[in-house]
Amino acid sequence: MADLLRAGFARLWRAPIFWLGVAFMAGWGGLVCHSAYDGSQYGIVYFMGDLCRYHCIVTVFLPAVFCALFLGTEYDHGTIRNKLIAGKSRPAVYLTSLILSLAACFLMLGAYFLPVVCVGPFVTEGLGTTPGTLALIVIGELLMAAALCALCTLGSLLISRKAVLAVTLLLAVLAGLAVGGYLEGRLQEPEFHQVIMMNEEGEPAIASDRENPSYLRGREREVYQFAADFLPMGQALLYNFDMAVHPAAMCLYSLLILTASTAGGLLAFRRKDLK
Amino acid sequence: MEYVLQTAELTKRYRHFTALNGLNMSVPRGSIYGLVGRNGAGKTTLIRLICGLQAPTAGTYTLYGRKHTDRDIDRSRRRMGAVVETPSIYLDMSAQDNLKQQYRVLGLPSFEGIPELLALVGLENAGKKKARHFSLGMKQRLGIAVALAGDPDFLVLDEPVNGLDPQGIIEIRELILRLNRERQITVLISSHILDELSRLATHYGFIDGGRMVKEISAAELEAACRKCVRLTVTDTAALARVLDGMGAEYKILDGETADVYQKIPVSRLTAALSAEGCELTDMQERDESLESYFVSLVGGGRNG
Repeated sequence: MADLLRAGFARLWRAPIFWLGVAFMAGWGGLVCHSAYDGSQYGIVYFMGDLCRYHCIVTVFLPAVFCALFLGTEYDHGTIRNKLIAGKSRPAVYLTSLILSLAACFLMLGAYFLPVVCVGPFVTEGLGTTPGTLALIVIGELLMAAALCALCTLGSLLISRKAVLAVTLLLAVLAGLAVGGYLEGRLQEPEFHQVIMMNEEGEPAIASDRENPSYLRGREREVYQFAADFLPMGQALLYNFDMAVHPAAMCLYSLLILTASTAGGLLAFRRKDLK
Repeated sequence: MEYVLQTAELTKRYRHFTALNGLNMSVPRGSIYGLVGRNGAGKTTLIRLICGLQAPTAGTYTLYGRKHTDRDIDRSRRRMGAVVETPSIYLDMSAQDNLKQQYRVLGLPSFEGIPELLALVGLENAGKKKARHFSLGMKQRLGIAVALAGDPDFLVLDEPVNGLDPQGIIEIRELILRLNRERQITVLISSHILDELSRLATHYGFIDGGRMVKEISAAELEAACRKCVRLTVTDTAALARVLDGMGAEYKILDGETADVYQKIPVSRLTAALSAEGCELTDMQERDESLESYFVSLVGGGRNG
């Protein structure tokens, strides 16, 4: 596997899609810092905690794009065959692909955090939370990205047509965001609506609270909250909009997705007929 | 005879389609083994199986004495190189970078052998040109170079001259012959361009409907396809006496027919046969090629 990793990283350093991703994320980090600086000129207060989570919406696209274009090429050009014919085992090929996508994604995230860490302290008003909570959130974000990498690697090694792979992964990300958005929307519904009635002079006279029928209660709320916490796109939205209420559990869910998808992927790839 | 590859009742089914149906074959060491068959006969499926890209549904194959189910089959695979269907190369890399990449995959300690390998396949002047801009022949040769990167002694080539121009076909043929003669590489080559295959192969396997119809050496095939006159007579014993008297080379096929491998004066033959009380009932000149031999084996009904 060390040989496959050496070959994989040699190719990664030369891959335009990787450097494009690094440049884009570095630019995004710079933009976020600039926005924080702009906001501070108008009295809007930003914290380091905000800057550390504003990448999540973009991050969900990184593994999908990278895996479709970088790993998808192995099938597209047929070069995956060279590895198997040369006697490399299928688990080694699979795990190498996973490690490469994790490394690429983390390096792109590193490119985002570089300007945030270097410039952020000068344009923000402190962490905005405890160091422990911030560390947990950042670890959670990295694990969410890792879970997405594992899912996209699974798709990349089971879908042999590059175009189908690219469309599938991007549609899956968009669908995931839509589902995540719906879940957040339902969870954010207020418990009560304030009803304001006008008197004859047109002034607000009677104000009362009325129960919101869309508000999720009891078991239903638990299921929605679990789905939002569990799904990587749900996590991305929760982190991005500072709504994560169970960050430790979200870390565990990401680890579970990472492990389960890798185990399933290894089994499926072992049985896959390659052309 | 020592065999590089042997298959036993090898079968591959895809849902309701049987691509290989109990195929048996043996590839002798040092040979150029031509796998002949129509499109869809199972040639590429067989190659995918022996390359480890797919697993057989039933049956076994043995590579260098190791069964495909053995734990250390990968060690046998390291001794082989293959180009399956299209050349497996990174199109956004140069020829040299493609070879470097394969060297890394194989864990080779240095890139020293790359210039020699490029020269061997005639790509020493390809420079930094990306493989994307190569001609089909150049891509094919680069694919073979990648397959040769691990210095294999068994090379599997699936339709290597498909789509090549005449010059490209000659280059690939000469390369295969050189690899076999100078490096003693055993070559398994599948093709349905029979004329081209007949210039290379030392052994043939005729495959149809996923089964091996016949395995034959080039020498045996040449004998079978030798130009001859097929005679049908009423008494082959009398024919044998007459032909012996004429000093002709012949082969009795059954009680009524015989092949004669040289020109014979017909009037003298008929007179001599008549004197022996034997009648010549039919006489046909036969000049069988690999193509006609293949058609006679598998029939010519379906589109090849």
